[in-house]
Amino acid sequence: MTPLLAAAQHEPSPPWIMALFGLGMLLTYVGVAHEKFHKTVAALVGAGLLTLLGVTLGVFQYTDIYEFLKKDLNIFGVIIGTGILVDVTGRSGLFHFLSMLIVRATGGRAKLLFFSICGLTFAFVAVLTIVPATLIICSLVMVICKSLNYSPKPFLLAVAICANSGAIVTFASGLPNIMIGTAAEIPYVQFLYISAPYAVFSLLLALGVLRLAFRRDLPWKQTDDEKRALQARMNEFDPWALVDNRWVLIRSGAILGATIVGFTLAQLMGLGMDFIAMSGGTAALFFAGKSVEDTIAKVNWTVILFFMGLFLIIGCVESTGALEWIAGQVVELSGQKSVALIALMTAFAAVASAIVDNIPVAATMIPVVQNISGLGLPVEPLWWSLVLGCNLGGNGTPIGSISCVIALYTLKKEAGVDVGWGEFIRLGGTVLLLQIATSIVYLEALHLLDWLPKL
Amino acid sequence: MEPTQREVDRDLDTSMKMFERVQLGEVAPIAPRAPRQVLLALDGSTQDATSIEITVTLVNRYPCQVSILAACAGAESVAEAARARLSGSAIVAAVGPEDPFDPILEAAAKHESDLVIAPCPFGRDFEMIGPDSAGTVVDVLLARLNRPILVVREPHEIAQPAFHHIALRSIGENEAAQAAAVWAVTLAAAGGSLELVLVFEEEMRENLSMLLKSLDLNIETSDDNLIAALRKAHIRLHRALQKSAEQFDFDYTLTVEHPPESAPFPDRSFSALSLVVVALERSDHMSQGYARDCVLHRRQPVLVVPRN
Repeated sequence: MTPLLAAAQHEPSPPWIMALFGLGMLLTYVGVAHEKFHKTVAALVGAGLLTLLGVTLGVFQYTDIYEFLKKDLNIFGVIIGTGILVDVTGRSGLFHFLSMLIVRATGGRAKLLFFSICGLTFAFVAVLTIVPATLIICSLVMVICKSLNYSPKPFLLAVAICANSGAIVTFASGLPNIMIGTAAEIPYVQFLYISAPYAVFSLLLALGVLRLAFRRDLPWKQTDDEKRALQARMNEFDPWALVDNRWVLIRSGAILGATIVGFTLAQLMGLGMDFIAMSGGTAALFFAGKSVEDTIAKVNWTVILFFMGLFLIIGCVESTGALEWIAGQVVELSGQKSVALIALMTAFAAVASAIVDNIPVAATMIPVVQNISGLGLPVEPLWWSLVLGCNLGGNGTPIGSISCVIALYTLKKEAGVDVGWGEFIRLGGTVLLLQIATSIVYLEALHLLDWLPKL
Repeated sequence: MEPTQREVDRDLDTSMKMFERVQLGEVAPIAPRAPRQVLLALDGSTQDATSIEITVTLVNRYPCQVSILAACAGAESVAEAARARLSGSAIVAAVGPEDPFDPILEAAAKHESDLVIAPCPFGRDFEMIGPDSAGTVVDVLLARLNRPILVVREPHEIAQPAFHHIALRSIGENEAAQAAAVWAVTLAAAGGSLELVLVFEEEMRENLSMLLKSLDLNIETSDDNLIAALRKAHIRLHRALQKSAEQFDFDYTLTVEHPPESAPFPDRSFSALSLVVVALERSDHMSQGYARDCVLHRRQPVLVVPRN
């Protein structure tokens, strides 16, 4: 238990202060969700006001805010290190090259191409995180579909949905995972044998729904002549032309691979994920040559400042004891039964993430789960509920996940095809319902069989 | 955390252009073309030693006929020394009273030289003239000579071996780029490296923006867009050089230089680069200016490959 948490549990503030801080957090989240405000500015303004309020009302000392931030410093290391690594690897053309190589190998046949795009999306998101992976695959889809005369709509909707399955594969596949994994101290390898198998299952589930939904939108069966013509057109694409230097490509792949291996061995070596991420980033910078400054400038400072604001807000609210109170209410609602709590947490995280950004959802739910741990219930399944719910929830609405936003935007901008909320919810919502139902069953089964490792 | 719409537009556009430009069909590697006749012009300056070393390396690689021209008074002894080092070579003409560029142009035409090797500044050491002038002789040769000229600019020793690290530089769209690439592949050493440098100048963007604006064409002329266009224009050359590198066992890199190096001398250490090959499209003033600039501001030997 953190000293802060302990303090909060011992000295809860009066209810009106809890309500005031809760309202402040809620208003900040409204600001974060509102188009008129910049997310980072909203988070920083909220953090500033709650800090002032906390110090003025004597809820905490000013120096306590360093404690709020200290416990999450490693997240900044992971974000900076992986950001640098992804940028340098991206510059080498590795992912563009690999994606074109694989797509070319399909010979342009609709069925193979569709499932390859889905698989590529899943794998790239797992390694690269959701934004860069989605951008690469969406652009590839547009170029290939234009060349082969396919409708890009089934492909881009599939990218939007499959990306969210890829986001639960590893610790570093997305920001919610990094936040939850860091807070719960989940080793990287645990992601590989707890969430990765379900990620594959959720992908297969999504593929089944997508195949059914698009049964009339793609030529799933093609004649030999059609296949030959498609192959000839695909042969015009030369993936090697995407590579500026072969050794830079190999080196980038090697550094990325070594970093992933480092993540899996971090716990054994007694090192943190932030150290491994920063080492990978530093190795990438070492070979970046003239582009070092450009690469450092590409680090997502917006995200880092946003997190700083968010962590301060959470710390302020947590210090009033409000999150502990919420945790108690959640436990009460579940009848103090883990089985119900897992279902409740997974469903809530998914629904909330379908409506608002999954990062504030994860940030808010993390201290709630931490507080539940003090109430005598096992929290391991709840951490995984958050991981699965926060990521898969994105499939629920067109704005639920950045992969959906990018894919639908690309479809509208490049092909002039508008996908309405109703149409998307029919598809994504169906996938989400199936995925959330099965993920609850999966986590309940692991919990009841006692197969979830203790944290 | 979502990227802004502007960031998505930019990244999507860049990525799509990358994929679009590789739809290029079959591309054959560039084959080396061995020179048969080389004209070595000597002037008795300190640059001569470097010129001779380069010629020796070239002849060892591609046995060819070397014609040695003592183009300045006092260069005869150096010419004799060069003939002694280059078996099968011949001293082709004595120095006349006319301007030194005339005998070089005449000898190159008479012997149908595939390559002319000449010092710069001609007849003088670098210290006498400084880095701001290539001298009249080289200026005239660059303007009139219809064949590649390898200008030995500085009295420094060349990096060893002579053609180990080559930079092939081309500014904008350049019709001489293919011919320059043939020379670069011809000279690239096995185990060495070749870098294709596509140079993009701010002035290019400004001129194009102004023209499009005056034509009321609403086309975005951002640096990213123009660099993507530059890459697209050279994609077949890039792939051909990549295949040549694989076939002839040298390392190959494509770089877009933006902004161009502006230092009086290159920022790359001398030992890292042994030859600069520059494509010169004579009908293009920007290309002319850039080729001359390369000769002036590079301490490495510069091979200028022209196309009228």
